[in-house]
Amino acid sequence: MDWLADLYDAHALALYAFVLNLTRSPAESADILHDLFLKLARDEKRLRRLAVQKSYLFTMAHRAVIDAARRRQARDRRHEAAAAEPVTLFQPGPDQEMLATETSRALAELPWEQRAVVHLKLWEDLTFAEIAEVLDIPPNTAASRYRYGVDKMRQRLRSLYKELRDGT
Amino acid sequence: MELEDDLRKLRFNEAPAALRARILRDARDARQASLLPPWFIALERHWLYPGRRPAAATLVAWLIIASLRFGTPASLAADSHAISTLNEDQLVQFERDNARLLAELESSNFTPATLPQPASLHRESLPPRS
Repeated sequence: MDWLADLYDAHALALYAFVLNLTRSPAESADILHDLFLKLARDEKRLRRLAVQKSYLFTMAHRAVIDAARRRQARDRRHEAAAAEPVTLFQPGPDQEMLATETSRALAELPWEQRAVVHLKLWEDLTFAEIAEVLDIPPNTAASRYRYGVDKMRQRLRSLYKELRDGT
Repeated sequence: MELEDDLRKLRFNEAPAALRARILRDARDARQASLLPPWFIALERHWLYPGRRPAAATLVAWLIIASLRFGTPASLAADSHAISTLNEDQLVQFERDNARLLAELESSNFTPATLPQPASLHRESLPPRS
């Protein structure tokens, strides 16, 4: 089980953040991560040979989130509802508490598709080609979703950001 | 880009601490369960503990019964050794046979009444092993 433990230690933090940002539910995110790693454990022999890539894990996580939503047969309604729920996405830093809270809200207001792209670009530093592969969309679509998403966040956070900048 | 740079510095919350232990424990359990013979899993699911995971005490009890009925742990170990010497084709065939056996068990009307009675499990009542 060392292989699985190492894999968990290397990727669980990033995967949990991604899944939590999409589901907005800590309990559901934990369940999705649980199932994902058990699936990996079942396929250990093959995956050991392939040397698991980060983008592969994000592809699995993204599909798992979609599958979980489909299972409830209310995907769109659920995501819209979930997006409005307050959830603590970020660790409160000494000077970042306000920015963290508002960023979390701004992300929640983005459509699901844009949120996934913005997350993978900003916090996972994936290229648009890699994001396209993970989300199964064309690279140009990934780029435009990112642009739209970041523009919305910039507008949403403009006044707070200016305030924070001016205050320092 | 300044905003994006600052957003990148935000640190996400971590997964619950207990999740790691839960995943590793369940993966280990699943792995152990996959090592059990299909007939044993079928017995547990259909008769002994419907819907529950195999428990260690049950496993020990069934190993005792199985060793009375099918052979001693030593002979089972010999079987395990024989399995470990199979080549890939033979292993595939072995898996198929197991899957077929499981399907047969699952498709049959598997009730306690169809199980061997305790008396018939006694070694004296069994035909001599070849």
